[in-house]
Amino acid sequence: MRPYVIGGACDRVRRWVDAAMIEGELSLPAALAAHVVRCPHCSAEVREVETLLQRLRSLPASLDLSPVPAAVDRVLQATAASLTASHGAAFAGEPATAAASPKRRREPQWRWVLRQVAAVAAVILIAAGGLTLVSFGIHGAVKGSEPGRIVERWISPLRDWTQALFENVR
Amino acid sequence: MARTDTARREAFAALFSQMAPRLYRTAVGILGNPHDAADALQEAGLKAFRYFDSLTDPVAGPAWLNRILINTCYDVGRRRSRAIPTGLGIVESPGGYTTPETDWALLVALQVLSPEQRTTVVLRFFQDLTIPQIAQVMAVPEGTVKSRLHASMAKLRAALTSSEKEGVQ
Repeated sequence: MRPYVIGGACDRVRRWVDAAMIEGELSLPAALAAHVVRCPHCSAEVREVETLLQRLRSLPASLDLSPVPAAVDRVLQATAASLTASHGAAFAGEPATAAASPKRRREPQWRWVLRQVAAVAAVILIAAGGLTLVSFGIHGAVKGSEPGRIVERWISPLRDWTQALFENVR
Repeated sequence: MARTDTARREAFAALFSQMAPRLYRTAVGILGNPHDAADALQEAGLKAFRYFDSLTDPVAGPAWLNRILINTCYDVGRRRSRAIPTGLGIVESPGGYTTPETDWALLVALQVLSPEQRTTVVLRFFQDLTIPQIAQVMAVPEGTVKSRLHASMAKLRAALTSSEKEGVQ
């Protein structure tokens, strides 16, 4: 575990290292560089980050680019073919209509959002209408009918108790 | 009409040919595999040509192409992870796609990162883009780019340290 005081040299080095991990470059001020030379913790950390940055920068240059010209050629040939075959030609594996209408644009986002809102509103309306119809049906079925004997047996003590309770209040 | 089409194709060819090496390196960084990277480059090129008319500002061309390539790389990565359930893996090609200097350990370590983190690191170090440029390409705030870079570098350091320790043992 690295021992350091907040605001001390090691802490400042750590902040520079943190910044370097974002900026991609580590260039310490002279005072901190001198500290890094003396401090084993800081020197190890700085070396590690510098090595990583250097490896990241040199990796792309070390990649072999031999597949690139072939890929570029294939793309350019496909684009040329789509033009020479003018209005009917197609990209490889694409339907003719797709290539024949290169000015096809994506649908505007606001229209998509509007359609979603309309769909949700329609679903809510249908659900509310259905529930209202069901409620009317239930109301119509129970209107004017007496509760059954079993219901009356359970409800009557409660009704008596409520009436007794509010009799004194009146 | 034909003249417009030709001019359009020439403009696209100039942009794509110029950007292709950088795009390919970016694809290798994101996918970790030269074969898939070449496929992604080709697919992205065809897609870009199809929608080239939607590019109104020519200055935005590189960022626009980068965005198309990144999305294509994500698609290729998803397809590959569906096809090979063992997950992402570096294919060390015997077909001359690598050089002795290629830092495979680092390329493998990059696969530890999430696709968004990997893309951020690749754009920063492979394409040398600035933080505002990365934010533009990835359509995220600059703060997000910074936090992704910091988290990615911490993850990379940990991954490389542990792999080096394993190598020593």
